[in-house]
Amino acid sequence: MFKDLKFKFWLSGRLLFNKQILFGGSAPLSFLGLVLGVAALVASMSVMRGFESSLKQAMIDVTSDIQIIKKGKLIESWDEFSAEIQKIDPSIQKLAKFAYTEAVIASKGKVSGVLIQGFDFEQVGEILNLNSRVREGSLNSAPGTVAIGQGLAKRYSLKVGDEVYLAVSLATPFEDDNFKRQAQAFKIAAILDFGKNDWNERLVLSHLPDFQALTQIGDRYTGAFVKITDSEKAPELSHKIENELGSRYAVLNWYEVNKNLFKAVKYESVVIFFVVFLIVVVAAFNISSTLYVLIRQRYQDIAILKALGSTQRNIQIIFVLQGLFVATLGCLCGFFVGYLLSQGFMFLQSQYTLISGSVYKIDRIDIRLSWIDFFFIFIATTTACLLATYPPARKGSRLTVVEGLRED
Amino acid sequence: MIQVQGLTKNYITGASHVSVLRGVDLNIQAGEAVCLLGSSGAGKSTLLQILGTLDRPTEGQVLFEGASLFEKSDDELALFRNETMGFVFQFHHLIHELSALENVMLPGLLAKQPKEETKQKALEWLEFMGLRDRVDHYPNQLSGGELQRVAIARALIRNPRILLADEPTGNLDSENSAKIQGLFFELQKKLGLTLIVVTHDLQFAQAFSKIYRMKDGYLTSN
Repeated sequence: MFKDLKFKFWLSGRLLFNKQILFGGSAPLSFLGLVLGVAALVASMSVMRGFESSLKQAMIDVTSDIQIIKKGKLIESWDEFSAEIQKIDPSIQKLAKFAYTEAVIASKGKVSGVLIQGFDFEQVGEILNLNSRVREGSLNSAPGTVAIGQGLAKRYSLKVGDEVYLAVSLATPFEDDNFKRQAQAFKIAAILDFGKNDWNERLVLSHLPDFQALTQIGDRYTGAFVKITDSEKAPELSHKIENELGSRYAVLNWYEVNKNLFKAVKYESVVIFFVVFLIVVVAAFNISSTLYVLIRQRYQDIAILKALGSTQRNIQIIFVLQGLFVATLGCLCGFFVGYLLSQGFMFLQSQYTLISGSVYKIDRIDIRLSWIDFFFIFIATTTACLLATYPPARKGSRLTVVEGLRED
Repeated sequence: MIQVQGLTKNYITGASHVSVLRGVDLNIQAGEAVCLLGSSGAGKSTLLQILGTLDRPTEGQVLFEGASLFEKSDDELALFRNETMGFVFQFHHLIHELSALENVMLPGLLAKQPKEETKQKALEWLEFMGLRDRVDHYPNQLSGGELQRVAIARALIRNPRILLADEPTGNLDSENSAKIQGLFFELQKKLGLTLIVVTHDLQFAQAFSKIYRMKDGYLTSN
């Protein structure tokens, strides 16, 4: 069986790969169509995957796998709180305390609303991945410094070393009966790309003691960043934590914060796959018509093969295998061209603003090529090509010897 | 060995109805060298194709050692051809993408014979044909006589009992034609083949032990 298939592969390949077919007629154009179709699929899937993974990575880098936020009064005892959390599930690896509040930033005569987050930079270094997001300066623990997003820096023309004023209201959520403004000057130590447009525009990171001094909350915290062993299990685990802690806490995870967006991306990926796959289907039809022509040119050879003892089924398999050859080669070339297109997209992205952060939430996509996508593209393409090559192969195999020999 | 009984073959093309064979009866003994002679359109090639199971008759039957051939399915006939018959055509009909050796090996490979054994046999036949130094040449690198000798080697690789040839020298110059004619008889004697050849070359026909003349679809004399 295997030996026979090997022979058919060999004969099919020998009949397909000749100069006349490779460099003449419509065969190279049909093949090119398939390559472009597969390349378009690879590029679009890698962009969609990249979008999803960039967004996910930004969420985990900046907000951790899970955030636990105390409702109402602030957390008084960190040790007690962290011990309570850690005993909920063994997959909880690390916790880092943080506090946040709405504030106003003022610089160079402009003011706007921001969200200040205060935390221990060393402690969160084990949970968040902020260092990889630093574009200018560095995240140091010098008091009186803050880190801002690149959108805010651009809007205010701020550089590392510049000074900004942060003003907070002390009325809420800390003390209900006390309302006063508290402002302080901070030096910019780092400018970061938080990976999400609204964060780049609004987020200001400060050291926890500075934050506590500015907001006058003392040694108290809003909540904790939580790192777990497997980020994919964050939705499941966050429900468990929510159930354990009760309604005193709000538990957020990276997925649920942008659940609708992630779902939309998934649905869009499927829709885009099928839309772009139409190019492959059209290419498969081209291959089918080319194979009709090739089989027409092979009438004599088919007749001879039959005269020498080849069965109808053998002939059919030989030509279907040609479809398989074309599909496999088309996929491989398409994967390569798709990879080049993706790299081209990355290059253009580094030179120009291709994605509007205000529309897509992120302003840069890291292309991601997934083996699963390659696999599905390969299966879909070969299936389309095999289905397309079946009718001409069947027609060729039904040719009688006498009809074929008449083709002198 | 072969008995042909009341063989007719009609073609319908549009409104016209063409009778190519009109009740042919024929007996061919094992080891005979039979020539089918006739002018163009007499039906000799159609008869040869039916004898070679390349085409089915409209009516009548062909018995091979008593068994009716056309009761077999197409796949069974393909296997029968591969095991029992060798074909040589006016045009060599070699596959252009395969070398001389690969062309000769084809029937063996189609019969799922071991590759090495088939290759050895093909080399032996090509050597017998005087083409040892041409085994890796492709059809476009061979002369007309060489091409036809490769085609004969291909016809013989499965040790057929019957060799059928349709105008095998029709496309060759007189020198090559004489060589190929001599080769047919040499092979027939050497292998004890039943040889059935279609030709309109009278000189070639005279060398056969039995000559059948065909005219307008009838076997007129022998």
